[in-house]
Amino acid sequence: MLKIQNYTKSYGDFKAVDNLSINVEKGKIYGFIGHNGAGKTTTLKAISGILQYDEGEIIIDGMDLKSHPMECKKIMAYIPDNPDLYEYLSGIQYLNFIADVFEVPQDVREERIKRYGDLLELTGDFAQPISAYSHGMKQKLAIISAFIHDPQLIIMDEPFVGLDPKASHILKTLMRDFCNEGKAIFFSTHVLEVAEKLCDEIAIIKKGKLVVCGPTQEVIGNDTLEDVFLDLVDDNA
Amino acid sequence: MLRTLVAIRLKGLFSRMVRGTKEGKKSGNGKKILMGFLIFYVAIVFLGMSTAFFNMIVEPYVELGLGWLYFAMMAIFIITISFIGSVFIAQQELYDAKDNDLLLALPLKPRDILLSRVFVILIFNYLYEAMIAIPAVGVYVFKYSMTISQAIILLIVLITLPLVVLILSCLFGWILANIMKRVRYKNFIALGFSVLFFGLYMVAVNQIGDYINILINNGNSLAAAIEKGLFPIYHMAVAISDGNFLNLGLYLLSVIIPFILVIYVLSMNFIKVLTLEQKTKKIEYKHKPMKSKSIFWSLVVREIKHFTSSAMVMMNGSMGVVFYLISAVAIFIYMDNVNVLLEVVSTEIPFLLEYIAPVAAFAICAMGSMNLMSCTLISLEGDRLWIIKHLPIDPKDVIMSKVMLHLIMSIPGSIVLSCIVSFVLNLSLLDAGLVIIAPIVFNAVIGLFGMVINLLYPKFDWINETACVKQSMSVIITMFSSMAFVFVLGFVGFHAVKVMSLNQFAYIVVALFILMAYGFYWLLTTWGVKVYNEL
Repeated sequence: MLKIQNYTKSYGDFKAVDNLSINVEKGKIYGFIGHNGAGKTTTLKAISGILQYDEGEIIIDGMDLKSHPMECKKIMAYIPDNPDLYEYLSGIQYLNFIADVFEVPQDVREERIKRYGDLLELTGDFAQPISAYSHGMKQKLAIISAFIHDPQLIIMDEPFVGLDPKASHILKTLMRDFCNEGKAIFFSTHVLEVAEKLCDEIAIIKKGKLVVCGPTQEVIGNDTLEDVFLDLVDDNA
Repeated sequence: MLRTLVAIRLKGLFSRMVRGTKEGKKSGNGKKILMGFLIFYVAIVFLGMSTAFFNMIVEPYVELGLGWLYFAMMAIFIITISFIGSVFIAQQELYDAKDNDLLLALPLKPRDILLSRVFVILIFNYLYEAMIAIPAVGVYVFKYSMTISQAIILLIVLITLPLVVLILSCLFGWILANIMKRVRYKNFIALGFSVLFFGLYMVAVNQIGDYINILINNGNSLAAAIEKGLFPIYHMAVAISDGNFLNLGLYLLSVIIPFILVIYVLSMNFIKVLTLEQKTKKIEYKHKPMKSKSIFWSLVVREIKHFTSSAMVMMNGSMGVVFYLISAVAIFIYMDNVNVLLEVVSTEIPFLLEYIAPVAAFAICAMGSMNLMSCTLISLEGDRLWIIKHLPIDPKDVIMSKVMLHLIMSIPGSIVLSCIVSFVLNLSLLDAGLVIIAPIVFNAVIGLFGMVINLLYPKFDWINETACVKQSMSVIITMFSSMAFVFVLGFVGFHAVKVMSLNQFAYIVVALFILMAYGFYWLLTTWGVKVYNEL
């Protein structure tokens, strides 16, 4: 579903991500783990088409992101780490805007907005301006907007930040159900317990370089993900 | 601690001016030169106007034995201009600053936070004061000279006079902040205040000649009114005029005591105003059938909602539209006077009536040069740019939806004005067509050009949208370029009448506008797309 090959992104002389290669298969939840400033958000933004990149290839469902950006974006969704949404729109106006962009038919968008809105208990606040939303409510709105066009791949950057325990649980269920339908999720997180339980595969990145990747059980062995992560990212190790 | 807070605010203020468009990048020499040119231009205009004004009133007042009234007038003008210029800055700096929450969470005295903000407003007030005081003092010294005691008193007055403005702007800012926190439609209230201030300014500028006559002819009664009603101003003016330190003392007491009181009261209420919960009534969501739109029109609607969500953005971006509408109403109401005025003026400029259509078209185009919307719209995306960047939207649609907003906002106003002008001047169909079409095409040129400039100079690091529309390089370049373009057209047109009729020249200009619009459109859909992708 998502193939990253030798991806490199530099800011001047500084290489934020160096020669990264990852393969996310259909039906898999893939966790992306690393310390602050490791290059996770840079990678996720490049996959989402927000950032241009210098070297390497990003292939989404067999299409090269650079040569087919529109086609790739149509089957993707992105949830950022900080849901800065349009504060001048109401929740429902924002969702309608996203549905317009993805050309979701009227009856389908209504059904999906209601389904996910009810699930995340946000429907009652749809008429409120986004400026009146809390961080968690904005995060829920960003999640609903990601599911509105039934994408094949969702890129999530720290999706659990700001969510209450119930919403976190609902999101985890949504993620699993989504991938059970043969779709894929690539997400970053600092919550290692969640990654350990939820992810089929994980990749650990350190200072822009891939340290380890593979099926979760293979990566952690008999340890916990926390132990493995701390060992791998320890500068003295 | 106060010193640290002041240093941080000053650093923030200056870094906002010199920071480049990309994060961490210092601005280039081009930007500095342009900023320098802009400051020089504004300073020259203000200093020139002030010098002319004070030059007219100094002699009558001194000859009437009312030399002190001259300094009173200087003080009144300083207070008025500084107040108009700083009242909204006061409200934003004091009560709407983004770091209020952060600072309140730190172990800082509210008074120190307040004073550090007040200091920034004071700097702005000194700048405004300089625009009036330098010419006023210059004119006086040039004609009458000054003793050392007068000069010392004047210096003390100039240092302390902005405190009067601070008292007024802090109080007014406090009232504004209280109103804004308690009302739902704050945008309309802010827009109302802005239009009111702008209207007052325009009335004052238009009637400045009458005011000067009143000020000169009614010196004695004005002096009596100031003596009775404006205690600090009177004593300040007498202190400078007579070199009298007793009057200076009275003036200082009447300024410094209220200033301390105001700062004390505000610091007591500072936290209360900042932490006052905004009045928001929850809107119940009722399901309605959703309307789907094409991607392009969905983007246009989004742009309209964004643009109309801030009174400051609207006001700064659409001054041309304000002028269109004010002119349309004024011309319609005073249509008889307009024709009489034209006949009178045509005795001085014989070809005016013959060429009234191109002249009117030119005037409406000149107003359109003040529509500065498209040049801010990329910058206004700010940290929400990720949304349109990650969605499957053709960059051309994003760019052209922004240009479309410019056209939607500016063209209806220009058409209304053009139609009223054509009707009042009883123009032929051909001439009316010119008066209507030329401003429409001109608005398209400015809209497209503004977008080109904003793609060249985007500014995403703004703290609030007002800073984005007031202090960004793309606004400055678009504003001065379009004004210069109109000036060049006027200049060339004035000389072109020697070789062709002004109507013929106007048709050529319209053709030029169409070519320019097409050129900018082509540029935006090729180079502009590349630049947008790299943002």
